[in-house]
Amino acid sequence: MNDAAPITATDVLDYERLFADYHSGLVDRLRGFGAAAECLSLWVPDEDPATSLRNLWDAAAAAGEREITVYVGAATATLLDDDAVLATAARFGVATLTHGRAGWLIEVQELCAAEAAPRRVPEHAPHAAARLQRCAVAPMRKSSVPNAESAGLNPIYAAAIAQAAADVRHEGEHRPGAAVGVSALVDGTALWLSVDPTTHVITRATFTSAPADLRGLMERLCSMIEGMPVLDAADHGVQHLELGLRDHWSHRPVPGIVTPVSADSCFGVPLALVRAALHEYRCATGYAEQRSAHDPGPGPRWRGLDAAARTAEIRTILDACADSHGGAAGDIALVAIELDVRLLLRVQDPLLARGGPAMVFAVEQALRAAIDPRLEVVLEEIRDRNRKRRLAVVES
Amino acid sequence: MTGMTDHTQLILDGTKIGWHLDRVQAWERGERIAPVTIDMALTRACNFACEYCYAMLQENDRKVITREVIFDFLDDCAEIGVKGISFVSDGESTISPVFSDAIRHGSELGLSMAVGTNGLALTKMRLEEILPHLTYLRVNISAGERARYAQIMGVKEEWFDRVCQNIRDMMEIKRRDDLPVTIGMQMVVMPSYGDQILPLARLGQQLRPDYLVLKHCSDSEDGELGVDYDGYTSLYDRLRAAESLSDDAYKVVVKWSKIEARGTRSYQRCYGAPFMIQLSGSGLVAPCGMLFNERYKKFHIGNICETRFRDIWASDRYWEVMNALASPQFNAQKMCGSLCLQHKVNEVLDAHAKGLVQLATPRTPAPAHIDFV
Repeated sequence: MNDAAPITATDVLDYERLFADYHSGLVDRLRGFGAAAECLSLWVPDEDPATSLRNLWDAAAAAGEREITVYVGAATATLLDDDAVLATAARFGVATLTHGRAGWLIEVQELCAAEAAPRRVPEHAPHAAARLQRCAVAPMRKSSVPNAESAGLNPIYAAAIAQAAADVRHEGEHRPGAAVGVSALVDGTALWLSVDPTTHVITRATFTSAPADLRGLMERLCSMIEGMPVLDAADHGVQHLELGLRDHWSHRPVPGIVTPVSADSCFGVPLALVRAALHEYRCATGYAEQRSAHDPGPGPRWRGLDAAARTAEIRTILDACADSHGGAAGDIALVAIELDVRLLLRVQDPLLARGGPAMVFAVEQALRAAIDPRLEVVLEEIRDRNRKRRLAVVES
Repeated sequence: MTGMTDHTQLILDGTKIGWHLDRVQAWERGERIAPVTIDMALTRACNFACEYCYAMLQENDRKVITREVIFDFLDDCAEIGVKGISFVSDGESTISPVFSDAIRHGSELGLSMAVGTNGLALTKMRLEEILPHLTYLRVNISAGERARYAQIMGVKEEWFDRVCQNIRDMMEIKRRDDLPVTIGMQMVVMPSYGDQILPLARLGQQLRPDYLVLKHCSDSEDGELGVDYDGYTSLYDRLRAAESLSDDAYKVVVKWSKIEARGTRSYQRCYGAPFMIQLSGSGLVAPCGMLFNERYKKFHIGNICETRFRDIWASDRYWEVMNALASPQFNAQKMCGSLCLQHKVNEVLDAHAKGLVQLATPRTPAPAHIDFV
């Protein structure tokens, strides 16, 4: 809508201008959108000009207008059948159509809502109609979903598990001391936990009797859940284990969503063990919390850095990312650090256009891998483009 | 089938994910599943300026969804197995030139179609066109009195009368043609709108929609709309009084589970997005409307104005983003706004993934609107 005086129904409405204005408004305006003409607040145009004009008369009639005159330019008129247009207009009132050198003038007086056009109600509810042949589930790549019975360990985990198995430090029973000791046994493998009853945090985790192919996995599990609340270990511990064992974060074991259940059958025993251990802990202490709300926050190294050191570390990573995406140093800039872990970035338009959302995602992963896994990346917000809305927010 | 909706079959404060067990099982196996439901808009624009509008936080690069774009999109949805499309999201879809055709085309493809709207531009003629093709139509109306309506929804007072008349017309057409469409009204309740709860519930008694739902207001992760979730407790008596105005053919339903959640989440992972994704009126495909803004560009997947949806869905990028939300690197308690569209699905799937509940096909008959989880 422009800033000129509002157009009323007594004016001749320029259809092509109204149509163009409406379309630009769909892109340029957010709230308070509407047609330029006050009398057409209910109008929704259509790409088909015949339907669009019909909607226009309907909207004017619904808004209580009594007469309306529309100028249709030559470019649009050539797409229309004048008899058909006049017949449609006549459904809404007393209609006349005047041909001119530069288009048509269509006048409708005594406007009123049209009689409903002949309708055909579907014999069946539309959603009960025959549907297309569907493929609700994409075909699986057989090689990527391990079969619990026959497939071996997914190779993306092999190196990390082998490394853990070569340096086992959490095997054997242990004494809980002042902590509460609980244990669980699944398929011959046992998990032993010491849990601080005041914080419910696991202070020590060990395993026994694991078969050779599980020793590396159990070693990593135990080292990872030490320092974690027992509830969080049961709810999310094996998720962390799975992600941490991959040779690269982007290498996923299944085409769809990765969960401990879908990822690999090898996670079944650790998952059952941590859940059983939580159950034992609940039985031993009466602990009843159900809601995992643990957020470890950033690590001690990040917390120990002053602002200048943080900025320097971040800048190094951002420049490397820019370079790897064909940009220059400084093309990705740190604007602010919010809430200690949220990095507000600004990316130069050419680089952002080239790299797109995937580049922003990769930048976050690079920062997490190099500095701290709790870091988050956001870009500068696009504010609401509607002035009225913005002012309302400021005033409130 | 009778045109009167069986209210015992409506689930307005919960999730229907249990009736889509085949897709849950495929998700559990790590297969790529099509969304059951897609919530989208046909434009970012709106002819209203509601005070509580979340769309003001969702600005992103605008593109125009043309007839060709939306038809291709709907064709792709039907092909990959999407079941329901709701035109709600971050713009007023009824002002899009392709609105009526999109509804009809989706319906003819066998998709369940639904609309959330302010109802202003739905003249009787347009209602005649679209109602036979809809599963539900819900009118957002957050006040029961003209002056307050104008104030809260940022419009002229007389538009209140127009919307009320349009609701009467909807019900007349539905009854006349015995249509299975459900007509609803919805109030986004802010604590400061308490004075409008009972007037609106009484207005509903006169207009006779199938239901009036009273829901919370969502807010961003930084609370930019300033929703005072503790303030809802002072409204409980009025909300219960509104519910008591229900009768056999008009139900007043309060989304208690979300109001009582006070903007908190019991879960950290977002598992719901692959089952119900959201598209902005700009064509942007994102897992969730709360991530539409450019600020969350890292989660943006593609745009149907540029790429066919079937290709976006099959892309590694789509599944990279979905996996990011389901991974330990994401914490919905810390990195999301409050009470999102996927909230109830997330609650159920999270409990299922933690082994706290075992999802099974419900023994009760399938509810209405089953394609809108």
